[in-house]
Amino acid sequence: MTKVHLPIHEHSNGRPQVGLAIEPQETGGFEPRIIAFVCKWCTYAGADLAGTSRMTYAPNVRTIMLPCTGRIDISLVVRAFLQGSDGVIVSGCHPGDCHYTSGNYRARRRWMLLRDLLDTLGVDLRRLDLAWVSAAEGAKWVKTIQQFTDDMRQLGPYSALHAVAGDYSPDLAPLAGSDDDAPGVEVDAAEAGVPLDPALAAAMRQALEQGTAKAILGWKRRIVPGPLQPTWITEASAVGQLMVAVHGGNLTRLFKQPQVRKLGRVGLIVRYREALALNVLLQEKQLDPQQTLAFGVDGQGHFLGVVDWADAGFIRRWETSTSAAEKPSGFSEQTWQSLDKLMALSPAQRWDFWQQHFVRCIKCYACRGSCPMCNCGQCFTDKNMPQWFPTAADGPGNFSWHLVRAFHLAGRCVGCGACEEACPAGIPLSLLNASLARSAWKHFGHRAGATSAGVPLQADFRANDLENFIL
Amino acid sequence: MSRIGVFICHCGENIGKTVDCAQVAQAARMMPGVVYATDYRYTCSEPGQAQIRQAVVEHKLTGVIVGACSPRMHETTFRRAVAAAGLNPYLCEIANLREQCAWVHTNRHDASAKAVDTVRAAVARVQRNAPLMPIEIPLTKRALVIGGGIAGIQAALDIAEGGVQVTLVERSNSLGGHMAQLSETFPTLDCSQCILTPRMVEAASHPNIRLETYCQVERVDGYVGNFTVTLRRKARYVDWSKCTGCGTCWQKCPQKKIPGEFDEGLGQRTAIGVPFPQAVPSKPVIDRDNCLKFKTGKCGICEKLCPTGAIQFQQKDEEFTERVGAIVVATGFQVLDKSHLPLYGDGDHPDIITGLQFERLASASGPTDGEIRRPSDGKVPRTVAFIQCAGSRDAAGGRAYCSKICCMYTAKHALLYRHKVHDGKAIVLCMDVRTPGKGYDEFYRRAVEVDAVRYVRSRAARIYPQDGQLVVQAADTLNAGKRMDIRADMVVLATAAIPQENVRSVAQMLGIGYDADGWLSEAHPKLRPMETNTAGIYLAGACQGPKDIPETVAQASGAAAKVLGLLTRPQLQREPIVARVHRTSPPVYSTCVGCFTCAAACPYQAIEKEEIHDRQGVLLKTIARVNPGLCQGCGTCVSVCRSKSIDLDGFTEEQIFSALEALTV
Ligand SMILES: Cc1cc2nc3c(=O)[nH]c(=O)nc-3n(C[C@H](O)[C@H](O)[C@H](O)COP(=O)(O)OP(=O)(O)OC[C@H]3O[C@@H](n4cnc5c(N)ncnc54)[C@H](O)[C@@H]3O)c2cc1C
Ligand code: SF4
Ligand code: SF4
Repeated sequence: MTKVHLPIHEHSNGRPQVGLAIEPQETGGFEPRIIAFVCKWCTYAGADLAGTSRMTYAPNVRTIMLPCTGRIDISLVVRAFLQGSDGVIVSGCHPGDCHYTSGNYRARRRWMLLRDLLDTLGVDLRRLDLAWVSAAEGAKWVKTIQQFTDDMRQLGPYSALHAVAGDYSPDLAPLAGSDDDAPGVEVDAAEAGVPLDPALAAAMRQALEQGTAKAILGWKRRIVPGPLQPTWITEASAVGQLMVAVHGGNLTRLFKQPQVRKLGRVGLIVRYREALALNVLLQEKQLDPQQTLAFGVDGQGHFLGVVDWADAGFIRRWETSTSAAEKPSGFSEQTWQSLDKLMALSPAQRWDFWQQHFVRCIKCYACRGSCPMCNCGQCFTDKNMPQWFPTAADGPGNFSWHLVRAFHLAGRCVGCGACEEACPAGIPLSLLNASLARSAWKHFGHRAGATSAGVPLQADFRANDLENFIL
Repeated sequence: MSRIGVFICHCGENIGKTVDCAQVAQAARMMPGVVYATDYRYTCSEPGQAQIRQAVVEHKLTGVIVGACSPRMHETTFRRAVAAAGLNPYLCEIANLREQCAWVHTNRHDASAKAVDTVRAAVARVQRNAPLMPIEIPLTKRALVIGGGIAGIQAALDIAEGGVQVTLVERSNSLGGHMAQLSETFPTLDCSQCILTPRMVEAASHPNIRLETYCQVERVDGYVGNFTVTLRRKARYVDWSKCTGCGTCWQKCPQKKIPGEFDEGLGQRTAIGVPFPQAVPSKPVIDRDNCLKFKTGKCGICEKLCPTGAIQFQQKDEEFTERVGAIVVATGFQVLDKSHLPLYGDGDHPDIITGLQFERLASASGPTDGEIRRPSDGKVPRTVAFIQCAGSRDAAGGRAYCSKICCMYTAKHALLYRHKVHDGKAIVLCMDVRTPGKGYDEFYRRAVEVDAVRYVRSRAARIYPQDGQLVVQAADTLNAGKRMDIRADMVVLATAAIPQENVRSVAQMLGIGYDADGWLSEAHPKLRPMETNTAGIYLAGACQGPKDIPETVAQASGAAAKVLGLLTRPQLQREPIVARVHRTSPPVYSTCVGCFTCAAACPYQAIEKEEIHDRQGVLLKTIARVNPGLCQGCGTCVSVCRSKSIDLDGFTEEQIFSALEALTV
């Protein structure tokens, strides 16, 4: 019996590993590390069948079995890459075959969104393989692995991504091309605001006097020069202090504050962006429509009346042009143009673009704080049992934060741009949000905030959702 | 501190030939947390299992890894062994070294390296495993059977005989289903009513059966062992507690010319009455759409003549609920309407009839008292053409499947016709004849050889009337498709068996699957033919696919056995692979924000609202809660939860992350 040498093995990424090394044997060249996440009922059984039928395939894949593709969280895929995989396979039952009837349909939606996000980030999509493999398709499993392994051998190690985890340089890299053509959104300090429309002021006073609202959220001037400040008033006499901001984030984020939640029935100034956000919050049961009195205002600050929650079409009052219905939610024209510019670059260029931005992130989480939809009691990034993603403001930490933050807003971000306004490092976060909003709209006809009814994008599916990207 | 034991199995030569098992065990010994590792020729054998049990005790193991065949083979075996030694079975994990390693790789070095990685991942994972206890669910010891055809009757009787209470729900006004319409039954030619009616009466009078006819299932909530079913008893307009079934009302009802559904439109019925004379229960209902009292406000003859004053025109539908532990679906099938076959006499020629209509003509209690007379003019047809596969095995027409029963019943029809019309000519046009089954081919041979039924292998393309007869234009498929015209006085179409029209809504209500054709889906086509993918719901009879009576009854008895197997246990035990919403101490209680994205994504509606109140009863928070009885453990909720507040026992994030880390770092 030949003894296999069992040293503490040094891997290319420099981390020690106990066990046998995979040394190049067949090709004499690079052997990729591949992780496969598979479901228990179809792919795992199909892979077993390949074994029972004594088929052979490349030894590079390490499989992790889960009950259903529904359980395959994107965090698994992202972690696999960050931890040094050169390629990732995700596989489960064919549509219609799911042991749990529809877990795979929801997974399919998630993969579509994830692919579009990864593409925007400049991740090489060839490194992620999605395949339906039934319990009878041992041969398909073999073919999938063989083909993918060969492709990864060709592509070589995924150094670009692994570098994020490895040689992370904390030096601020210069931003690529500060000329006008560079994608990125100009953010205006948003000092501007308009005084209350007299009709609006009257309505607010009445609400406070009659007690139909216990408090009203709006903006006021700061004592020192600077952007308008979100605030709330409880007395009718204070209505005169309120103003309507022109930019100024999204007022609905105040609902995250426990003090505001304790106020009872609250009124608030609702511009288009707030209206969209309110719809999302209602859909996700974060607000009680009975406890919310919305004073609609248009772009110029004119009072539109009190929003009636029973009227699902009220959102259209802000959408005067038909084009609003053809584009997802409230992103600015400039954001769409910048996104187009970004997507015109090659994936490698996009990758560089984002790396240069992410390196500036100081993990202040201002983006999260400013977003009305980032309303988790405890953000995934703050959880440590287990640690979801690295928390440090370094390569892996920043990459995973920005990826997952954007993903969690898929189908929910209303494009108000508050995060981008808040970011002190000037990272064009809206581009990531817009890319997912476009994906949700294009593939699933979903517009965040279009209605407060219905099922959240990622919980929903259609049997005929797009799947031409799956083997 | 983890104390993991690793057992590498050679599986004889199966693993050992390609994987260096001794070296894998050696490598395992160096893995963090491992205190014992060994390799053995057959770990699944009794000495192999004894080795595990002994090591668990001797080395005080807190986790066991068996590197062996696929967990789909022996996970249960090894978990039992571990449990026998006093360790929680869920602290045992399998590393698949055979099906997904030794058998698929040829290079010993590569395969061994992969084996070590696989074991390392399992070792990392098992350290995060929590001891799990099987979930115990209380059981309601009552069953519901939906559909009162022969399948439902058989299932209900078997369950009732087993000592369990059953509610049998039939939407029409009598038990019996299609079998009640049949004249004689193949292959023995015993009269259908004679064998069926006693079963109907037995079902209606069994002390353990509660019969609900003219009743529909409206809603099903709950889960295996604990369903709550909402039923709607349709208004009958007759108080059955008073009615004695004397029949005065239907004899006197002036609305006599309504085409009778039971006779497939060949006979007539009244607006009040029972569907057929042997109906069980034999109590009438008023057909509101045809009743003069309802239509014009005048009449009410039945009300005046009823000796017990049972007529109640004001009766309303009644809803009620029933708690049951298991459900048998026996909703049957229907036959394709001939209007779907426009090439055959424009789909509405009176002398082109369906097989089911032929059953009524041949039935001694049918509209012609069993004489074969054609519907248009009541003449006895001298030549009858029987056309098989009318709508079946026709992919272009949308039904690629074989209806299975038609070859046999067509042989029966032709034979019955020849018995009744001695000088008549019976011609069967068929694609081929399929008669597998005990005594079936003999029956078909008898039709051909004894009763001189002529079989022609051909495809009928078109049927049109000519000179008081029908011309069947067919292609002779044994003779290069040569055109052949057959003249007949009557044509009988063996129209396809198709799913019940409401099958999809029934399936959705129950949360069970159906295939592309609309037949209800069994959990496994071979090994679990009467179960559905929803625990506690079973299938019986033609709702699952075309079936004849013996098969229907066999499946119904099988489903009943499943129900008895379930409901005669003291309580239910489930694999504890279920999701769980994280809870922490006050004042946070849970990181769940109550967005209920998980609830919307769960395929089993297993996620409910939970309200957290303080001691004064003030609502502090509404969060999600998983009902472990409903949860099937798919983990879909885990992936959609943004705040990572829900996790799946047995596949927790910690377990998967550690395995992944062990594979990549
Ligand atoms: C022309 C013809 C001749 C045949 N001849 C023979 C023969 O000779 N020998 C033989 O073995 N087989 C024969 N068969 C086959 C036989 O009819 C079937 O095998 C048998 O009827 C199947 O029984 P079932 O209970 O599954 O379905 P069905 O008989 O269709 O009964 C289903 C019952 O469920 C009820 N139902 C449906 N939906 C609901 C609901 N939502 N709620 C409550 N109740 C509901 C229906 O009203 C019906 O009473 C013949 C079939 C045909 C069409
Ligand atoms: S998805 Fe997560 S946060 Fe939302 S209700 Fe479910 S467990 Fe709670
Ligand atoms: S694991 Fe699946 S079945 Fe269980 S609650 Fe979550 S989504 Fe529903």
